[in-house]
Amino acid sequence: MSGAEREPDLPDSPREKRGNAGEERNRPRPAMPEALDPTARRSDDEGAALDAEHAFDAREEHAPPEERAWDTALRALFATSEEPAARAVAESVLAQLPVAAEDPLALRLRSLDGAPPSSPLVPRSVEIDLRAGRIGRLRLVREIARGGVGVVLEAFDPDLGRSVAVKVLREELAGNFALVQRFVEEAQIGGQLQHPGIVPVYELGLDATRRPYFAMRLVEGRTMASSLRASESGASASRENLAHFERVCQTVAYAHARGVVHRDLKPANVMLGAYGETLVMDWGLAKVLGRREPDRAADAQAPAASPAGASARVETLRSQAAADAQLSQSGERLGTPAYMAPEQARGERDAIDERADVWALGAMLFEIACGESWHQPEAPPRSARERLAKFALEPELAHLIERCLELEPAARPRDAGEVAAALSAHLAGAEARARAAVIAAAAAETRTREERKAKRLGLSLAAALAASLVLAALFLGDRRARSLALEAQVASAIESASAARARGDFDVARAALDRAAGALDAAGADPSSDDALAAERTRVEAEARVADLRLELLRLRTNLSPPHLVDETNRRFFAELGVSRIDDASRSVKERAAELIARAPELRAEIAGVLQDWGHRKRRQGDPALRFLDLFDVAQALDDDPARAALRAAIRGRSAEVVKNAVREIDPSTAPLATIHLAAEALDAWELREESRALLLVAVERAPDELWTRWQLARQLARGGPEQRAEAELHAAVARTLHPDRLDPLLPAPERGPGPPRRDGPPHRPERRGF
Amino acid sequence: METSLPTRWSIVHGAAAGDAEAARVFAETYLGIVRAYLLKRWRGRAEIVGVDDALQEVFLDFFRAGGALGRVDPQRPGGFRTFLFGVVHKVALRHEERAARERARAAATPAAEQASPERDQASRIFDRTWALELLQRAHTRLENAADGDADAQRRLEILRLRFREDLPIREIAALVGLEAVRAHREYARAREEFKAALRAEVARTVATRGEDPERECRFLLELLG
Repeated sequence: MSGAEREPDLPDSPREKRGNAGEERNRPRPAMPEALDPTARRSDDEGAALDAEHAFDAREEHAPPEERAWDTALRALFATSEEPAARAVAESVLAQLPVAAEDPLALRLRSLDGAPPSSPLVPRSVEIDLRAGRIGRLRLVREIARGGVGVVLEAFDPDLGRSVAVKVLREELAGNFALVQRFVEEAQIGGQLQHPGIVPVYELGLDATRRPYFAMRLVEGRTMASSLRASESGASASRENLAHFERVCQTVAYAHARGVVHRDLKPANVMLGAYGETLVMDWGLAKVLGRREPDRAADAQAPAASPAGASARVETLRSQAAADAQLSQSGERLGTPAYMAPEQARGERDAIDERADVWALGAMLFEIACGESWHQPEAPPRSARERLAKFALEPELAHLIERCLELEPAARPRDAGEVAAALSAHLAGAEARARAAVIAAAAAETRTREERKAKRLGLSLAAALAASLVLAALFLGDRRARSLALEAQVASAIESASAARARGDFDVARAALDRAAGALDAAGADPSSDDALAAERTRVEAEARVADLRLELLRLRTNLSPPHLVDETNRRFFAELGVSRIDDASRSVKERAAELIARAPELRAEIAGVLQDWGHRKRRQGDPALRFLDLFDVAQALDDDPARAALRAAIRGRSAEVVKNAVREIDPSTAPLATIHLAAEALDAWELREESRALLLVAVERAPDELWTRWQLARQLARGGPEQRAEAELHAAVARTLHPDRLDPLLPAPERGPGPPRRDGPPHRPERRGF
Repeated sequence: METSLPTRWSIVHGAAAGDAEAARVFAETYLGIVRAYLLKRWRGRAEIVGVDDALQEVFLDFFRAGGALGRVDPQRPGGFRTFLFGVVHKVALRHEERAARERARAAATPAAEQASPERDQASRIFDRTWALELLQRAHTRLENAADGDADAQRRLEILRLRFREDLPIREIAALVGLEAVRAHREYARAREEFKAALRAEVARTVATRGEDPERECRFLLELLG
C-alpha cells in the first residue's frame, strides 16, 4: 500500500471500502421526481426490495445504541476469528521477522557487524509506541492515514536522514492472523517488486510489541482519482491522464510478469507524485499466483521492467508454503466493487488471475476516456459497446476498453502487458496523427499566404477583408494558446528548479532550467531575456557553488592524510578560493580574513572551523613556533559570532575551568551547530570528553543528517574503548551514507597511549591538554 | 439449543470439592481465556516465553488443597469473571516480579523498565479477552445448532458476510440466493439467534442468584464498544 501521502478518504482494505459503501448506503436519500426515480420504472418485486432496503437503511441509521453495540460486538467477533491455517502461517512469518528494539543503537550495531548486540533486545512496553514516538530507530512524526487494516505514519529515519512512511497493523487486528499474514505479504510483495512504478519497501519488522510494520518511501502527490475529479473536461481523455495510465499498465505488467495480481486497481490506488512519477499503491490485496505453465511463463513480458530479476517470480512465505489454498475462504470477496471483475465479484478466488486486473484497468480507462464511472449499479446493465457508443472516442481506444471489459475473462487481453502494448501503439499512432495534423495545418497556412499574396489585387476588398479577419482570429487564437502554454511550461520548470534547489539537487534544477530555455528557444524567444528564468539560474548557480564549497570544506575537515599533506591540501584549497598564503603569518590577519569574507561570505563559520581544525592538527604535531595560533587568529577575525569568539578566547586560556565556563553560556538546544562543534572541540581538547560527547549527541538529535556533527562524534568516540569504537563506526557509517563520495572512508585508528620512544625517530611528545 | 447446563458456579463448587470431572470441565472451559489473556498481557515482553508455566501455575492455584477455588464467593461483586481475573492477575504479577529480579541479577535491563501493567489496565485486557471468548462460544453454539440445518447455516453466513465483509444486505441477498426482502428477515433472525446464544453463554458464567445475566451481557457489549 501506501508509502504514501494518502488521501484520508481512500480506503485500503475491504473493511474500510465496505465501510464507505455503508456510508453511501446510510446516507438519507433525497426525494426524487417519479420520472427520474429508477424504482418507479421497476417491477413491483424490485420496488419492494428497494423499499425494504431503504427501510432497512433508515432503521440502521436510527438504530438504538444497544443495537449498535451488538453490531460492534459482531464485528469484533468476525474480525478476530482465527483460522488455524492462517495462524500457523502467520506465526511462522512473524517468527522470521527481526524485532525492532526501542534501543535503536542495539539493533543497528547488530546490523553493522553481524554480531549480536551487547545487551539483549528486550522490548519495554506493552502499549504501542505511538505515544513513545518511535518504532525501532524510526521517529514517528504524524499519522497520514488510517485504513481498515493499517495505520500509515510519517516517520523520520535519523540514520539516513530521510522521511519515510511506516505502515503499522492496527492494534485491534493484531490477533487476526489472516490479516497479519496479508499485511506481511503486502510488505514482501512491495519489497520484491522493484520497479519505478512501485513504492519501494525499505524494511519489514516487528515493533516492540511484536506488531508487524513496514517502512517505505514517503510519496508526496495526489491520487489519480482526485486528478480525474479535478479535470474540467472529463469527456475527453487528456494526454496527461492517458500517459499516467500507460505507466500504470507497464507497472502492472511488470507485476504480472513476476506472478503477482494486484486485485484492487483503481484510480484511488494510483499516486501521481509531485515530480511526475506514477506509482501503483496498495498491494495489500495482491495475490501471488501459482506457477504458470511453461508456455505462459515464456510469453510473460515486462515492458518497463529492469532486466535484472525481471523474470524472477515473487515469493512470499505463503506462496512458498503453498498454504494459499488452506487460507482461501470460499466466497470471500476482496476488492472494490466499481473496478471488480465479475469473477472477483462472485468470490471465485481460484478463477482470479491477471485478467481480473485487466478488467480493472479497463474500468479505469473507461473513466479516463469517458469522464464517468464504468460502475453504475443503479442503471440497467449495458455492454461496454453500448456504453461507449455515446462517446466520440478514437476507435482503437474504444476497442481496447471494450476488450478489457469483456465479461468472459478469456476474451480479455491476457495481461497488463498486452493492455500496455495496445495503449502505447494507440498513443504513438495518435501522436503521429497529431504531428501530421500540425504539418498539414502549417502547409495550409503557407498555401493560404501564397494564395493571398497572389490574389491580393484580384480579390474584392470585402472578400479579402473577411478572409484576413477569419485568419487573424484563427492565428491570434492559436498563437495565444501557444504563448500561454509556453508561459506555463516555463513557470512550471522554474518552480521545479526552485524545489530542486531547495533540497540541494542542483543538477535536477539545472536540467529543469535547460528544458525551459529549450522550449523558449524552440518557440523563437530568447531565453536570456526571460528575467525569471535568469534569476532562478543565478540563484541555482550561487547556491550550488556554496554547497560545493561547503562539501569541500567538510572534505578538508575529514581529511586523514599525513600532516605534510594536510598543509598542502589546505593551502591548495584556499589558493583555489582566491586567498593565497593563507597560513603565512607575515601577512596581516585582518587582510587574510577580509579576503576570505569577500570570496565566501556565506561560509565564514565553516571556513573558521577548517582553520581551527588545521590549527589543532598543527598543535598536535607539536608546532614549536606556535604557528597554529596564527590560524586561530584568522578564524577569530573571520567569524565574528560573539559566542564562538568567547569560546575561542577560552580555548586559548590556561585552564579547563575557563572552557567549561564558556561552554556553560551556550544553550545546546538553540545554539548554531557551528558553535556546538567549536564548544565540543574545546572540551575535547581539555579532555572533558563526556561533556563534549553529550553536546554532540544533542546536536545529532537536533540535526541527524548533519555530517560534521556525526563525524566529530565518531572521531571522538573512536578514541574510546571497543564499545565506543563500535558506536563510532555507526556514526561514521551514517556520515559516509550521507555523503558517500565526499568523505574519507576511514575512521581514525583508536587512540593509543604513549608508546616507547622510537630509536630512529623524534622523541615522543605527550599529548598536550588545552593550549 | 441447550438451556439446562449447570452454571460455571456449580462446576466451580464441584471442582473445589475435589470432583475430578468438574475440575476437568473447569480447566477446559477457562484454559483458553486465561492463556489468551496472558499472551495479550505479555505481548512484546520477555515473560511471554513462560506463558505455559504461568498457565499451569494458575490452575494449580485453583486446584491445590486450600487453593483459590476454596475461597470463591458467588456474592462477590463482579461475579466469577472478577474472581478469575484476580487469581490470574496475582499469578501474572508473581511471574513478572520473578522475571524482573532475574533481569536485575543479570544486570541487562533495569527492572523498572518492564513494570507490570496497572491493575485497571490489566483488568481491561482481561475483560476484553473474556468478552471475545464468550462471543466465540456463542458463535460456536450457533454453529453446532446449525449442523444439518441449511437455513440456519445460511443465517450464519449472512452474519459473516454482513460483519466480516461489511456487505450491504442487497449484495448478501444476491450471494446467498435470496430475495432482498427475505434476506432482511433472515438477517434480523440471525441477529436475534446470536443474541440469545450469547445470553445463554453469559448465563453459564454467572451465579444462580445475585447476578443479572442481562446486566453482564450489557457489560460485555460495553467492553467491546
